[in-house]
Amino acid sequence: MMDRNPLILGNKTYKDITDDICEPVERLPGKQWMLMFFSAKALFLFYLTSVAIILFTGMGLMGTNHPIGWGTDIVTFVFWIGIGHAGTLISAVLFLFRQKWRTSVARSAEAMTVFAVMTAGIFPLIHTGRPWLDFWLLPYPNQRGPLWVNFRSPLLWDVFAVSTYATVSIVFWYVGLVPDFATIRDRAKNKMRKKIYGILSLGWRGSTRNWSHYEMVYMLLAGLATPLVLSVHTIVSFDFAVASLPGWHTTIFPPYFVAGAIFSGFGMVVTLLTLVRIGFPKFKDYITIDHMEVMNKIIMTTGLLVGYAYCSELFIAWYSGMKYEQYAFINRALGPYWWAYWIMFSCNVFVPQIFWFRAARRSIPIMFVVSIFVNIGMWFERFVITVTSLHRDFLPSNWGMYEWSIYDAAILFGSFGMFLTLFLLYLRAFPAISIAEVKPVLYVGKKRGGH
Amino acid sequence: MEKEQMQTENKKWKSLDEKYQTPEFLAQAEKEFQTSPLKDEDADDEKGGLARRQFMKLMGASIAMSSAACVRRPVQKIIPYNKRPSEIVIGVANYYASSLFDGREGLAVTVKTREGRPLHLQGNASHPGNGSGLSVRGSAQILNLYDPDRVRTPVINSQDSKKRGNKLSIPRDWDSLDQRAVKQLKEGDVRILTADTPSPSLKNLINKFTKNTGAQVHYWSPINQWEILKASELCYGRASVPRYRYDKAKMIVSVDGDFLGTHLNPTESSRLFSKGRDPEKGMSHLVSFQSVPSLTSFNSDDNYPIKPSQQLPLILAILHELSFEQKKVSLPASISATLKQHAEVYKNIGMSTEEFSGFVSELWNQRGQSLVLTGGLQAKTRDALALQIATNYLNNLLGNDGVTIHWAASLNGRNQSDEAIGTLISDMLEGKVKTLIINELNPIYNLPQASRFKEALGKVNTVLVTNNWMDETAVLADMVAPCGHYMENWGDNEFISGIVTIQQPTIRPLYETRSFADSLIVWAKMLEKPISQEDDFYSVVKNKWMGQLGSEQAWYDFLQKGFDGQVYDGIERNMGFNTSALERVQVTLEPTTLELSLYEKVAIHDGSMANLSWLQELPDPVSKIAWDNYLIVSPTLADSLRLRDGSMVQVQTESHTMNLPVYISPGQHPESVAVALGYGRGHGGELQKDVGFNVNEFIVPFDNQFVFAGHSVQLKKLNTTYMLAQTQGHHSMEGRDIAVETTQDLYKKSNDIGIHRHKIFSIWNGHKYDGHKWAMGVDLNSCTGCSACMVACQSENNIPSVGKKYVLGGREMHWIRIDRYYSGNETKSVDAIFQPVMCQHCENAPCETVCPVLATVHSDEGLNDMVYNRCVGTRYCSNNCPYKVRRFNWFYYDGHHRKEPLHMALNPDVTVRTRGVMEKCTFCVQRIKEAKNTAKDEKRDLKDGDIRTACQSVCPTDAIVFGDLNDKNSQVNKWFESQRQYTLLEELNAAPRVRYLAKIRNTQRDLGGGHHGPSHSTPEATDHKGGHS
Amino acid sequence: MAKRQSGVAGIWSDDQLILEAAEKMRLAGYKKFDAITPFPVHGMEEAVGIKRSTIPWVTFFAALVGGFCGMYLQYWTSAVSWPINVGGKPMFSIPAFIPVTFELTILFAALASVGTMFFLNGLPKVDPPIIDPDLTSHKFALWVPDSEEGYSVEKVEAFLKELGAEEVKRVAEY
Repeated sequence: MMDRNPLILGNKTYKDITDDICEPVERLPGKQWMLMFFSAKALFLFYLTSVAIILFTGMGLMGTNHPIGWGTDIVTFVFWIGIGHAGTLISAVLFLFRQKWRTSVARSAEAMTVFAVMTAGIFPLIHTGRPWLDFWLLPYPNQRGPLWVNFRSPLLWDVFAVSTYATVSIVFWYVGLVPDFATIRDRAKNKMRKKIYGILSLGWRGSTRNWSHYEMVYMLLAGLATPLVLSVHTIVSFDFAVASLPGWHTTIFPPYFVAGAIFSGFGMVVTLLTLVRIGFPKFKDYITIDHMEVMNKIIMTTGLLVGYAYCSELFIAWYSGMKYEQYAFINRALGPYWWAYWIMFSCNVFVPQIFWFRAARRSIPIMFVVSIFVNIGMWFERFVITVTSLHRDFLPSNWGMYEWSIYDAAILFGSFGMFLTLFLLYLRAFPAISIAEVKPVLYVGKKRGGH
Repeated sequence: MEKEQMQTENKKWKSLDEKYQTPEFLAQAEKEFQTSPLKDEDADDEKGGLARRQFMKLMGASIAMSSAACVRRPVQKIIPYNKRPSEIVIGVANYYASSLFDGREGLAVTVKTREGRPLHLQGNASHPGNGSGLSVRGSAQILNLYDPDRVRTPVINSQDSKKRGNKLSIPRDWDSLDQRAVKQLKEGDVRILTADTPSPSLKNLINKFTKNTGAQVHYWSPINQWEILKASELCYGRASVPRYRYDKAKMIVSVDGDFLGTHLNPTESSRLFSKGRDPEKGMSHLVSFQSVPSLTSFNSDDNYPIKPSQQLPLILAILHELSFEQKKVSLPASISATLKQHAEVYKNIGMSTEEFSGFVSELWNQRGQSLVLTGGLQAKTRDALALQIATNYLNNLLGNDGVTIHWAASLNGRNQSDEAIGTLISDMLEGKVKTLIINELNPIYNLPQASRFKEALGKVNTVLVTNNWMDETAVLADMVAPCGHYMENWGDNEFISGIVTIQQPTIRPLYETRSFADSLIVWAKMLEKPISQEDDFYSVVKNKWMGQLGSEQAWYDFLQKGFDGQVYDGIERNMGFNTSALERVQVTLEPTTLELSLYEKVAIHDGSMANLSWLQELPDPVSKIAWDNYLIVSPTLADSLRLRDGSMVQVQTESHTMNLPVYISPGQHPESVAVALGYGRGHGGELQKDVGFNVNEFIVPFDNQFVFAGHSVQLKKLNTTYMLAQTQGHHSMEGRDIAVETTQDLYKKSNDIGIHRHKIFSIWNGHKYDGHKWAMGVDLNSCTGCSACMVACQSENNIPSVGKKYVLGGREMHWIRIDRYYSGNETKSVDAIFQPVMCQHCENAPCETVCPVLATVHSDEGLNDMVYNRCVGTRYCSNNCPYKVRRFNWFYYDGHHRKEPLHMALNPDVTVRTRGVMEKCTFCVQRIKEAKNTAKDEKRDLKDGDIRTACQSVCPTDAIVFGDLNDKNSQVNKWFESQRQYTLLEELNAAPRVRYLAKIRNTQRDLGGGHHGPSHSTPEATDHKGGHS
Repeated sequence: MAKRQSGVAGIWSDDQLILEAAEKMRLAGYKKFDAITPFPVHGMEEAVGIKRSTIPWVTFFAALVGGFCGMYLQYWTSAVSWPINVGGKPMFSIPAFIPVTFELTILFAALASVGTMFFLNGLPKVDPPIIDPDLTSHKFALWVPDSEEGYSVEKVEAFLKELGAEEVKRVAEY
């Protein structure tokens, strides 16, 4: 159905495409951008300060306590990692499925992935009691007599999974950027820009030999990134699933987490692209309503998947006949944290159902609001899993409540500052749509002009 | 070279096959496990030896550096408990026998010292009194000694003597203080206000002092047993506080006599009580009638909430039932009228006629081996004396006198009364007193305004206080003579008549202090009215006992053993009961719709040791609330007034009105409320300031006594709330097999405790433990929840206190906690069960698997080791611990952040943890090492019992055993094979090395499915762990 | 990196036309010529006559190496170098070691592939001369280096014109 509608609107020539996409990089930023950038920057600085205060004073400032050893830090870590997944999914999985429409959103989605993973990566580092010793999680040879790490610990799997994921995403993203950097280089009027993009483009030429290796590698990376992206959130879910805690000790977690990740990721993509469309009106021709609609469909589908996971969790809890498990889930829905559970449920399962209506799928305001809800809901999903499982476990004598503090809030919202700062910089410095990938699909769904 | 060595070790290690376990291999393996975790601590000087021991040496050395310069050994010659006198060996502990009075009871202790510093207290195992048991207040004495707020020199207050307002305090030396003191003493009209002392020598000195100088002495203490003394005087013609033999009683009836928690000598009582509670050999039957829920009521087999005004009527009703209904005894006509009025009181406390008569006939059938006990603050109504007389009479009729109640082998040092201070006050008001010496008492705080003590103080020229704190009374004094701590002074204490326990100083006085006895000697001498040939109390004590024991060697043996004589264990001839005493038995206290009683808490008592963080942070065994006192109300009352835990109410009695937060407690009578003394201290310590509420104003002076209970009271709900730091917010077991209990009959019948035993299988056969295999057993049937283990553990393992704010946040640090679950009908009588939970040292430890940096791993003896300096603090282990026994250092709590000289209380054998690391129970690994080394030095194998963990060694009821599972005859092995044995959360297959023995309740009631909880269990109820609001 | 050569380039502005041109050029017996395009033009490999890239083999072996290293690292550290009882599990707990093995497999494969690609494409090049800036935007070129046998500037120019190049350039070095 997609290839009946044109992927790129307006009668563009290859030159128009180049001009349109390079334009933001080549002109000075407008007021709008400046405003957004500096507010994001301020938030980012606030984030750094609060992190610093916590590092100097101690984890005691956060709401974590006994019995709730993990709180905002881990919740937000999982949240951001999840966000990342949509990027890889769009650029890799859809590439393998030959989904041509991906070309115009892939670049920004990948950027989002990279920045989300960076933002996420901070949290496991600062959530420890002695962050200055985090490097002990790496298995490096040392003088302390045989002293290694525990490869049985899901946290260590995390270290490998997340760092691999970060590396591969960045490489994948960069490889995609190389030809576009070359384009900017060749268009560059002023020396400085020529130099910088010259270096970034690594002297790319675009001969057919180059292209043939290039496309091969691109496909291989897509092939590798696909299982990788699945493994990453699977392993993140192991942090919980491998533990013996009722509410964590669940076999459904890997698929459940991956679905949730894609869900939240697309939510974030939609949020960002709606903003990009507003920020750069020219992009409306490349990131069309059709693109948005497809993504909304995916949101709705994954939303249903997640809903299915919630229900089967409840069913299995009952079916298992294990009283701790059963209590854990009754407690989620009806316990002191019932509100968190129902925020999660309504944001992730009920709200996206509006996308059954074509009009809603194609309405920018609606999809923007929904995507925000999805992100809220997904943060609460992680909160529900982490906190409500911990706060009432096996021995009722230990039961307690999370001692939410202002530092939790600072860390949570501050992290958006980091993410947005990076993303806004990217929008100005890098071609936000893959030039070399868009051109081949210029004539999809159109009569070929010229002859 | 270091590294090479390690590698060669590894090669060797690798090449050896598991199944040929040569000694070399084992040695190597041990080294393997011991070295690595501490490597980075001492990588340089480590030559492949035993890292931990090396580490301890270094630590010991560094401590020595700091303290050796001024090794604070007493100058007099004292004898270590278990070895001949020797120079201090750095890193080797010396143990000295001593004794102390913890404010409530006398305790025979052994003091552990290192490099001349007292570090830790244990009971004196061979002592017939408390034995190896110790109270929370006993263990806390270490902290008391090192309390930074102690008065460090003699002090002269520039005092406006009329108005008694302290302008400023000037530190002086002893000479100038003595000069002034003696100048005043010469004036005459001298009074001494002091608590009665169990020390014969001191008593003797005081008597001589009064005789020679014409001074008068008044024996009083805020929480005394005058009514028991008076009653025994009236009934038997001799004033004494009896020693109850709970071990000999088959049936114990306690009417507000909280003998397991606060009444008389709880530590010894618990010890004796548990002796009579062996489920295999037959258990005594404990019935409790309480107006305040207490350890006794929670440990009882059957309990009934009552009002203070029902105490006496209840005893009378029992007498009535015995004589008129069951015609077992005939009573003098004098009281039969009174009896008739109250014959039916049992109906008001929810007992049916059958139930009551059944109860009474059981009491009768057990006559001669039963025990009826009343007393304690809750029983200090205006009818306190009548209650005691009636009780004596009942015991006498039941033939318990002399059998379960020893009047001859009485508890000494309690010969004190409210009357005494009453006379003093009136004399002061009449201006008959020129000089008043107050010894270690704080009447200004402990007495209500109505007692007019403060006013009376204004009429005294000179007030001289011998005390260690600048407390509410001391600030109003003219002179303060710091008298030093039990561990700094000599003494001899006869807590139980017949046994004299030595009190050896284990450290030279930290400050310019002088014991009260020495002060008396000095002052008498300066007055030219000497009271002893000797110049110091040490010589007094020494000469006295050398005289009595015969030789100097005998004296040293005495010091070494710690006590002399033995406790009376026979049956006293029945000392005829003087029925004329019964005329005093009149019920004058009118029941009202809501009655207030004041009670004392296990840890805080009268507030005299409120400055000790260990005691403040200890969750009260009954309420699990730390750092506060509160008004205990019943759930029924709470519902009718719409109160929640922590809501403030206005409490109004005739004498006083104030606002208090409420705590809703099952087991409290709907028409009675209670609040604890000892809080809201003003002066005398930083820590105690503004902790809780001062409720002493509710005390009412009433004809020569202070009335603590039975005040008519009104409550008014206020719209404010108050945060109560409760460490356990959820009190139901949710029907899980956690703290398992069953009834005697069921257990006898089925020889089983009626829980589901899971089939556990594993896909591989696990690791072998060929050397030692440490394990611990906890007997829930013996555990009374007294919490002594918690404080002992805190002292042994350098566990920090975090303060109310962070207890509210759920950051308390105790390595061993005592869970308390309710079961039964919470509005009527509720059963409670206590369960100590420490690290379970699981063989398949969930915490170890998830630690990314191997900071917690398994030793080859089955210990779950925690390697502090490897921990980065992910807290994953805590999340994955099903028992949640791990504690995290959220901030810096370590030594440098402790106020001097509190750091001197730190145990050098235990690492002080830094910020950001996880910690937990280690099974006292330092004690295991010590015992191993000792055994090695003595060229022998470890014996069962060589190693006693801190919690185990202070437990008054021996509810904890520790030992080697590979030793077939070890006690712990026997417990692991017991019928009552079960594993906590067995189905998780964490395979804990701690096992519990189920509690057996000796009751006919159906325990409602045993361990199933009351209806708290709806998930809606939020947990207030870390606070209500 | 390949040494620079001089040569001739013909420039088109339509990808379809240059595809046909390239086809013709190959049939005309040109071996060393190459097409320079702003984006991968579908079918250009065949037209220019380039064999399928060999990178997949590199990827495959890198993956094997990565997997092996991952597993061995874990085996050696936890069962050989420092065998210690963790949670009562076997020293060599294979199931627990799968995730890390997998991640390292992917990592090695991905990095190796990209590395090879850069190598084969002679990247990075330090500011290489360009024929025409528009070749990375909207123009397409056929490039014949002087190493082509029987190469002569005139002949090539003529041929390119004949193929319909909109512009023919002599390039001193490229």
